[in-house]
Amino acid sequence: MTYSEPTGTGRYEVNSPAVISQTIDGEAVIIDLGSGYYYGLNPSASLVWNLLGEGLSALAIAEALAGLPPAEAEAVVLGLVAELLKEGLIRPRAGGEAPAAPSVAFPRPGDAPALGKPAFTKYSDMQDLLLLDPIHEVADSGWPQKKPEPGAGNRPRSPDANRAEPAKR
Amino acid sequence: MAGSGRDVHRPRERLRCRPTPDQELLLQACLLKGDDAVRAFDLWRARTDIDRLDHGSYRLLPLLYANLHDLGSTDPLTEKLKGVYRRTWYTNQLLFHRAAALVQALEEAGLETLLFKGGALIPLHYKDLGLRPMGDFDVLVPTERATEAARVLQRNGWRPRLLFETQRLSRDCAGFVSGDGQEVDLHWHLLEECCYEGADQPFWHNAVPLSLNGIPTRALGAADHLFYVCVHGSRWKDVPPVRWVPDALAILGGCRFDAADPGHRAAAEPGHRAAAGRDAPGRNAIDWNHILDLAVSRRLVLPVRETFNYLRDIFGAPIPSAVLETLGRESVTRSDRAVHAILSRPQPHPGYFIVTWLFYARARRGMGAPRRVLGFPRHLRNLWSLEHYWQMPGYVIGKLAERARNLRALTASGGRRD
Repeated sequence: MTYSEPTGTGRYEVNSPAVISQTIDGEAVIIDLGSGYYYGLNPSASLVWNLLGEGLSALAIAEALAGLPPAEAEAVVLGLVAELLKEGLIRPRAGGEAPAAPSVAFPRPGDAPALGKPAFTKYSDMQDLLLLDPIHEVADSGWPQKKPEPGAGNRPRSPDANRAEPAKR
Repeated sequence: MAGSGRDVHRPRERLRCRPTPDQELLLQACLLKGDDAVRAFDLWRARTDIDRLDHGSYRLLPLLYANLHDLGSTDPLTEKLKGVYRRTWYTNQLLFHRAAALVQALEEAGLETLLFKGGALIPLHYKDLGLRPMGDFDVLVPTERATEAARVLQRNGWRPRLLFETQRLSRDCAGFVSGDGQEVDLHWHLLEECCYEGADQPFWHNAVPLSLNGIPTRALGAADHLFYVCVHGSRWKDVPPVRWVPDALAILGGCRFDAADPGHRAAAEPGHRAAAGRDAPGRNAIDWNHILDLAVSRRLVLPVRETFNYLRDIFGAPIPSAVLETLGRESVTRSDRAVHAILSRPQPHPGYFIVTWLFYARARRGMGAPRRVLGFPRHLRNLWSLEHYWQMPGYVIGKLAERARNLRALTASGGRRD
């Protein structure tokens, strides 16, 4: 897939109907219906994802990550946007103005550091996902995170050997 | 309904295929509100080993997660339950995506489609793809166009699990599977009990419009769906049939589905009831007289009566007293009672031969008795998807052995069905 480098003022939208998402208890999950790929976003990336869906630019979203220095926040958001574009999960928004008041709540100052840096995990083996027993074979955080293998310490096994935790920075 | 051999007025029968006490606690934890749900959850947690959960209970876990989340529970199990919810959302999204393409292909071929069970209950009543796990997708097409529909499915990469033609001649539906393992049940009759001409006419007549991922189709109307869910739920299944309870309550807008009554406390207020013939604002309008007509005309009074009483007694479902009283007064023939008793017991059951004969004979009411009798072996061969008559004794012996194994397993597990 070809994509242009994201810019701070660029606006994006979910690449629907091929891509669908839902925020479950503050964490966005995304499916690429064509490939069956599953993406789990951490709370910080979920906030960025939802604000992107509202039509906010990367610059405006960077302000929501108030715990980071502005330049770092912008770089982090642009980095995530670039990854989402590369995965084909979002596309440049065709026209339209930014909403006057986004329906997604911005975190209050002081909340942002707790969210951490935005990151997502990609699960590209659909059969593996479907076969994973969500009670007996999963980590404490639940499906689709596998239970750590014996001897692997506390580090969970990588969900996608080809592309482990791509957006973590 | 009158005549000899009738057993008149037997009110408040106990539901034969009733959830076990543990399943009932889980249902209450999933469906009730406030302290009632918390109490039920605590009791269920204390009595149940999550590692040895039966599959029927497992299918309730996403709903349990949603209820615990609404209640602000901090139980450590919640994270795993959330995972089950996520997995359900994921698998249902993939299934709905595939099914929408199939429905589109059928509709473009000029075949009307009507969805029921999860494919219709989720978008219309649960309104959340993560709440109700689905194994397959159920599509009803007009009876006379079943073969055409099967061809459309096969052109789109779905293959029948068994010989389609033998199933069309003997059953209400046939299972199809896609290359990536998704499953669809193609129905040409809604109920296995009613495979005769015109049996599905009211269901088509009362169907409501439904958009499946943007593809226009139809779904069973609320009253028909409630009727179907209750009849289906009253039957014995390999997977314990407990999900019919939330399905029915979702249609009725009862318990946690009752948006109009946030303070509703079902278990603590057994007297809670909707006025006969009216539904509270926000609930689905149910044509109760239509359900009564269906129950009588399809000879399914017993399953409807037992399940309605259960929903009302245990979950305070908003079923009008007048409906229960009318069902209680309705007479039931001995043969209908026998059919219900056999279908509520672990299968395969030797009595299923009798049930098969009765359903077969009902579907061929216009046929002379000798032709009906002579045609029965052929019907059985088709029903069992056998190529030759000589295979039939082996099939029966295999089924009897399966029954013996099932009964041994049931005895060993103290009645649990894993």
